[in-house]
Amino acid sequence: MIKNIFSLTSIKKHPVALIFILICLIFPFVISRTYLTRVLMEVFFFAALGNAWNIIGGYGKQTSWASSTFFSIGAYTSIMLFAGSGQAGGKIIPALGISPWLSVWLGVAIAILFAVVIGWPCFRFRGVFFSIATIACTTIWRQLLIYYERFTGGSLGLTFKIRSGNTLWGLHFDTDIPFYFVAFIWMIFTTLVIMYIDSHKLGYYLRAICEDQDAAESLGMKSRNVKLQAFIISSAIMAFTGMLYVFKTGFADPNTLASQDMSVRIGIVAILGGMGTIWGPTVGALITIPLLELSNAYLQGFGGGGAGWALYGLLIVVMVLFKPNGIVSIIDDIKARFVSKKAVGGDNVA
Amino acid sequence: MLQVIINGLLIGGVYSLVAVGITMIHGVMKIVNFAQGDFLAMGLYFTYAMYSLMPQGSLPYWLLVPVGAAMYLAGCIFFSSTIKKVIGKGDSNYILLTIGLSYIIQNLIQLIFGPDFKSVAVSEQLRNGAIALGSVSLSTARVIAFAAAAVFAVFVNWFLSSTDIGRAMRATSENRVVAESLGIKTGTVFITAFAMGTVFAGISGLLISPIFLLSPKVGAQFSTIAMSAMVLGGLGNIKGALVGGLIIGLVESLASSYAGVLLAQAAINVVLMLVLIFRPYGLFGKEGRAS
Repeated sequence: MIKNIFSLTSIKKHPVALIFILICLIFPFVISRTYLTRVLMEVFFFAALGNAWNIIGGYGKQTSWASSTFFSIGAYTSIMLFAGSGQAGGKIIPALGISPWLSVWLGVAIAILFAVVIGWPCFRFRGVFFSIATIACTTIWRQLLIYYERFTGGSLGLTFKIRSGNTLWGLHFDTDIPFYFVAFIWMIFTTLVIMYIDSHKLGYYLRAICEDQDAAESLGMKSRNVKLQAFIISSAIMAFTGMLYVFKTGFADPNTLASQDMSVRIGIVAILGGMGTIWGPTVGALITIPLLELSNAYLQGFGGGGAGWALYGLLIVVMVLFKPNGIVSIIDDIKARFVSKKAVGGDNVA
Repeated sequence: MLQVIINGLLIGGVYSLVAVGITMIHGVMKIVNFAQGDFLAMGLYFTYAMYSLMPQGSLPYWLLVPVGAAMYLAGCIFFSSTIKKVIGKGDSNYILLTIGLSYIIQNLIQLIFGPDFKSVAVSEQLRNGAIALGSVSLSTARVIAFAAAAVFAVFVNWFLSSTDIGRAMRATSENRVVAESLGIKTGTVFITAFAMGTVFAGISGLLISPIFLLSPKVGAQFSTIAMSAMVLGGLGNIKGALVGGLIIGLVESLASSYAGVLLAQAAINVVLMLVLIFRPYGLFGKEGRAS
């Protein structure tokens, strides 16, 4: 599969993607403003999260709002095992300094456990049960994070003590550029996962189940298992991204990491870009994250920061009503028109 | 203990009303409205805005008609501009759409009224007044809210069983295609049901306005409450939703007095999760296949 992706045909198939990758690679060296590098890094993180959401929400058509739960599970597990738990009062876990590359697997395992607990009962049924359950799960998890102060630092969250030096093992760098590449590689990896799913059994099964669940089941597909599999992969990627994100930002607090807003933001990335497409979440992240930065910068004084989120809501509504297949589908439309015109022209010449 | 149970049941009455609204919408058009709590928040803020025009110390309940009318109008606008287009188009469409609406409403409220907490300036008598009944004291505002919710519940029952449009609603919720072939104008039924669902949410907002603080994000918690009550009672079952609302009120009240206010929200959601896992068709729902 790796061979396929780096072969000549795939470059021909995705010329824009290749250009995008090249631009990202040289970006931090050409543009000296660290702010822009940081924004692009945020884009990478959200593209990865959007990719993860896309597996269950796009390919599986099971709208999940539990993204922030998995994300914060990964984040909290890693930061707790590295910097210890709780800030005030008795510390239950001392600062162990365990490398995030080890502790992340515990986070991933817990996230998968959560995914099974939500998914296994809900995928028995069709319909809206799953979405309701994910919202319930997010609320419970956030409340627990706030309540068990001694573990999680309550609503203040957890922070690292001052770290210094460049270490990949401890995932800390003095400048932004190494982390930029860590995030970039992770985004590319998640995109490869999507590419793999898109053209292999899981993707075909998910599409078949979305098209017609009865027909798919009559052909022997166990729709419950297939959906659960997709949900598990999605949750694992989110937990891993959570670890990377928290080691970048340096703190974890429940009201941003574990909030429903975070879940919705992750969802929007994929919805706007195009659900069930390979490049949708990347395109979506490239648009929504800078948009949010802009609205934070220019609309902050306007209604206490509500404007940016109102815009997000409006974007979802508009996309669902008019372009349910996202921005990628607009590009495809244009491409299709262009190609068909060329074909007609060819006929005339002949 | 008795005090806690009664408090829970009283507020549960209001939750029932919100749940009836969301159930009505789901029953007729098979759409779960994730913005129901935000409609309630709209009701709260309408009350807040209109109350400031009224003379000092008057009762907010006089606003029942104007708030109801405003909510009916808002419901019609939301329905015909957005919701109408996703009926019968699959689950993920309406889930995304109503979440989008919820964010628009929340943040428009924040833009207009600001992000900080507010309260409707009702008289002290109403806010803190209580009726002593043996060892328990009943908060006046809660009793009024419960009574009003009960009146509305009776009204809904009458409406669904004795009016033409109510019967048409029930027929549509049973089977849309057959209803249409019998000459029921489902378009009218849809818009009426949605607007009524919105009005119930808004009226609930008005009823709890003396008790609750207002903030733009207050809707989220009521959305989960409404959905919990609806699922508990069985999707599309109005009487189930009434009972579900009471149970949720009870759970919330018990949890907040025995486990702390912080965990009350979590407790409601735990109940919801348990119901989804063990009895997804509700306490009274029959085992059927959701389409």
